[in-house]
Amino acid sequence: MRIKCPHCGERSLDEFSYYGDATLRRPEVNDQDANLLAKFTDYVYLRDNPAGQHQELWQHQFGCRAWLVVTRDTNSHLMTEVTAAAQKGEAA
Amino acid sequence: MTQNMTPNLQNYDVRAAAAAPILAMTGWDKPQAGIKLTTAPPAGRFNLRGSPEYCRRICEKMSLALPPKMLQAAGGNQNAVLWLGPDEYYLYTEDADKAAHLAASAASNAAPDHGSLVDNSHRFVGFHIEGENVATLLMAYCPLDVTAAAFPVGKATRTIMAKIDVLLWRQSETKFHIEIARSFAQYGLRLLAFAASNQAALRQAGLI
Repeated sequence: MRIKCPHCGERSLDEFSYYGDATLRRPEVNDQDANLLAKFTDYVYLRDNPAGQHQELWQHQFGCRAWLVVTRDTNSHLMTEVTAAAQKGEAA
Repeated sequence: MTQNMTPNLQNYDVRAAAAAPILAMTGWDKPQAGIKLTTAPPAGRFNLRGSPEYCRRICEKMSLALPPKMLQAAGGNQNAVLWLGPDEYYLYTEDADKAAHLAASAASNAAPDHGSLVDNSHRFVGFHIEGENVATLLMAYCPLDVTAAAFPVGKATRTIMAKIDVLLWRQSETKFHIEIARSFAQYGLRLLAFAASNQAALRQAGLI
């Protein structure tokens, strides 16, 4: 399998490390919130397992070291979009 | 406590001496399959990471030329800057004065603004691999296309060789400079020797 790194071009999967769901956001900490524990449990432990499009973080660890946001179809493993996380962050 | 910022340059010689037996240990004391593998001269190696302005400033101070594009090397084979990633440069110098100067600024951490300069001189050992079929040999264990068309002279990148990460840098049509972490060097060289013997046998049988 190959991933098309925006900086290095197509590279072997071996050069990359997987870092999970890219859409997770840390819950706001609010002492008054009765559901805080449940929210954090969800954030830390619970993951969706979608069949289809999934946004995930990868790092080109043994290449340019850049963090990437990859859109992958979990059914076919087809990677439709690979963006540098830094660029994605600037756009957001 | 005063700290001696001047690196002990004798260490660089020690490294070169220590690298010599490795060639004999791994079967590279003589050419294999038309490939010659030798140790690169002692050198200083520095990892420079940070904003483009910071990296440019450090390189200018050392009068090192920056490559025009990512994954390229600039400045020649003895004093080079390798641009490895969006915020990462690899400074390589066989000039002991430059190496000492860089090591001193790495140790003093003189300009820690948005960047880091780290002395990696002892972490890596360098080897020169030369021969007509050098790309075929490397591709036995690198999943990357390193043929001249895809990997022209002056290109440099970090990649995977079997289970280890190495730095590949093409210095001419038939010559690569490869940087391997010291503790992985024996493993890497043995792999290449094994690939070379396989390829020699295949070539003899007319299969490649």
